[in-house]
Amino acid sequence: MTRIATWTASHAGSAALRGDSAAILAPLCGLLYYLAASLELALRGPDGVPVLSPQHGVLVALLMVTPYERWWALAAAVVPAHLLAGWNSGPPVWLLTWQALFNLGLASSISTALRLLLGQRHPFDGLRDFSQYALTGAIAGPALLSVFAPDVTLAWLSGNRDLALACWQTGAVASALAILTWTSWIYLALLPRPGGLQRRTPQQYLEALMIAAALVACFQLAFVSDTEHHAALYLFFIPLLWQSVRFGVDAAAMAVTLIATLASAAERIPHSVRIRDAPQVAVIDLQIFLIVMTLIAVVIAIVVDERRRVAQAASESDARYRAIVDSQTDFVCRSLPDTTLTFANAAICRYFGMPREKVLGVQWLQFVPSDTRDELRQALGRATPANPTFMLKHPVTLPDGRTGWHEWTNTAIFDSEQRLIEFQGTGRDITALARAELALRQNDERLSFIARAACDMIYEWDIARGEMWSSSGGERSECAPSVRQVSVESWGNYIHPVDRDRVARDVSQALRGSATTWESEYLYIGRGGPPRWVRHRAYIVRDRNGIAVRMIGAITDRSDRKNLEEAHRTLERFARLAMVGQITASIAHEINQPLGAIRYNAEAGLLFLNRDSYDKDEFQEIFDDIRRDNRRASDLVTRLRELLHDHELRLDPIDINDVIRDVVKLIRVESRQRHVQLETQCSDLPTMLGDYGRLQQVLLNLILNGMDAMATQPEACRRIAIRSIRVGATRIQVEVADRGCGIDPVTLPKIFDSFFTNKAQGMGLGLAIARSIVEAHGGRIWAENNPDGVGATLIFQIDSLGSKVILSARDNTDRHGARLN
Amino acid sequence: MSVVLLIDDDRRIRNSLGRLLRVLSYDVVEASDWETALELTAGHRPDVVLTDLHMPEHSGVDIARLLRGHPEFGDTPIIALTATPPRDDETISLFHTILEKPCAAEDLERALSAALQRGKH
Repeated sequence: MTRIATWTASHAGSAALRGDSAAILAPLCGLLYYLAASLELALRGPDGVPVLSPQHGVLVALLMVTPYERWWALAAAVVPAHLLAGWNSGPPVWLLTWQALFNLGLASSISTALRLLLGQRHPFDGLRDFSQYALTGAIAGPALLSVFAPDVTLAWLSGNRDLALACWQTGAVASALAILTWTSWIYLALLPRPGGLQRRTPQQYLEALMIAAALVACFQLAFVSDTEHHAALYLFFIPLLWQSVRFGVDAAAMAVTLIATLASAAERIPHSVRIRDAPQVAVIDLQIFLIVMTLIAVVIAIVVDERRRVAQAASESDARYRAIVDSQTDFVCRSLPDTTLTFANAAICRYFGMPREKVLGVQWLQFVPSDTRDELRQALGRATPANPTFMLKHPVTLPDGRTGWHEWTNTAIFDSEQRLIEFQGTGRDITALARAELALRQNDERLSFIARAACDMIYEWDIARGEMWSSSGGERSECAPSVRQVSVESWGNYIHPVDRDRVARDVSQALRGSATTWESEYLYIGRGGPPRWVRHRAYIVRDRNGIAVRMIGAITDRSDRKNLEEAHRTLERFARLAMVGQITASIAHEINQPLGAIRYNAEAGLLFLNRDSYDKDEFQEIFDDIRRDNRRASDLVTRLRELLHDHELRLDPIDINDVIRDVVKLIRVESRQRHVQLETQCSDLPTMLGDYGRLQQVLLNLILNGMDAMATQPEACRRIAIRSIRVGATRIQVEVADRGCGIDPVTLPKIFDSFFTNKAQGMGLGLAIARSIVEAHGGRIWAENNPDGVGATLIFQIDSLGSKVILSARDNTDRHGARLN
Repeated sequence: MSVVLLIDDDRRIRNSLGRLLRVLSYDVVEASDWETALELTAGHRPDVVLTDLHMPEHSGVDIARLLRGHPEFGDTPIIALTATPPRDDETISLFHTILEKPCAAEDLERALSAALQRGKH
């Protein structure tokens, strides 16, 4: 038993006695002492020599378990009890009193010495404590103190030194024997220790009974039987040691007490224990025999007890450890090198739904799907004494046939010759985690594949932490795409130097502002490779204070679209040139007219100069005319440049009626040559935001288309009416109505599609381009056959409000390649 | 002074060319379309007609044909002014001279003089 338990038991025993009042303690002590003292008198040898002093044993035991402050009660009880016991034995009262006081002094001195020496420790807990107890309490104490025994003192004072020595000798040994036997069992009885007699089984009681019978029989043979059986003394030790081994120190103490007492009472000292034949010496021989026997029995009992306690502690510790291991939700196991399980905790048994005895002996590799076993065997084989610990993550086949996932931390145990003995492992079920991981990985892959399919790179920039993750889709790698962390700096390097500063500036401006979206187009070079046009769209996440904390975006490869736009623009340019080519005569005429007027005015002026006198007013008029015509010519050139110039959509405040008038002028000669009459009907319209040149182009296309439609009509019928009206509050509508053959209702919705034409020489681009321009203005264009059944009207409608136009135009930028600056 | 009928739909051309002709000492009557031209021909009996070829409604060629067929003014010399001279002989034969416009004052005067000379004959 541990020392803490001993202390607790000791404390409990002391408390029990302390709880009793002195009134109970004193008579109890007195009674016990009286009985012990009476027994001592009864046990005296043939010459009145004391063989055993039970009163010493009783007193020492009582004093050891009684607190110091209660000792007075014991002391008060001892003297009367001693007087009472010895009243009829002969000695006078003073001698009896002396004897009582001596007994008290001896017992208290030994008790005090033992208490000081042992402290809270139990004298029978271990060999060391018992040896201290035996040496101090049973040998040194009685030997030293018996000097002051009354009979020794009296013999000494009477000058009979031999008698004094003999008295000291027998008294000391009698005390020693009593303290070894009586004190031991009383002490153990008063402070019962866990695991003592109270927890014996019936079989053990039977066994104890048999031992007792054997002891009695041996006692009978050795001490009582007239026939001396020498072997009986040795036989004695068999039940005694059996008892010590089986029933512990308290039983041993009781047994030896009983034997010693009975032996003392037997009034017969067997020959076999005698060393010398003198009666007094024979008593000493008996006492020595009993002491040796007691010591052997008690020491063996203590050693066995100690071992048993250690074993019990180990077993308890093992049970505790097992309980802890079994209460774990994690798996704990031990296995042989071939993975045969030698230990498995309850979690494993629960997990596989098998009792422990079935789990043990099974190779745990059997729980693993067969295709993974070789891989695991290799992993197990890699463990070395230098690197014994390793982690395994592997699938397992669950009892229901499904596959789960385990994660194990294993340690390989090697013996002193570095041979693998076993594996110890702790693991857990990570099926849910593995499934979540798999789902995440699949999701990630899916996202990346989607990103790659769209030629996109998707990224997230944690601005606050300065971290950036991006899909590798943009790199067009062939390996499985995944999201990886990239540095913000390297991101900047992916942008072509031409655009780098601009993009950086735009981004920081967007982040500083309050916008939640940002987009840009730039040349992307990635990690080398040819530059590609990309469109970068991002969403900016802001905190409560509006500070940008994250930016999530997608980068789309626009090279192909950009090329398409370029092609579209080139086509548009050619279409425009072709269109202008159709009206060259018109244009030449329109330019020639003012140039001609200027020329004539100049000639006139020169002729005036050659005259002697000339009219100053006439000159003024000439110059005014020249200036006006020059302006007219340059205006025309400007308009032409607008028409021909290849610029991106530019929105200025314009009057659509000006556009109509200019176009009609430009096409006048053409219409004259084609015998087409142009009529205009312009309403009063608000200024609108538009691209002058592009709208000229639209109108020219519509008018030329109308002229083409009327080519087969009689000349007198060829008439085109151009009308501008306001629709609703803000929309401006321009109609170009011809009197041609009309449009087949089937093809009506397609006439604005690219490459759709009914004309033998047409490219089918004029109307498509007209539509793209109108849509870039946020407007729409359509065609209707005239209600009277003759000819068709092409109509476009544009909102005059700039904001709407810009918004709509931006939406249409993609489709038609026109852009707003 | 010889009378010149100037036909052009463009007011500015009429103004400037008319001014030049007057400096060259001609009487000028101006018409912007064929109807006015016919009226003025009848009213002023011009010595020479100077017409633009490209005009809306009726061109200079139409007017020339009309005059050529007129019993009274059939011989009136007609000078055409054009940026794109006609190629066919029939059209060319309608005119006394075809001048490429804009023309220099000397060329105009030379053509006018020649036409007037022919008209006197």
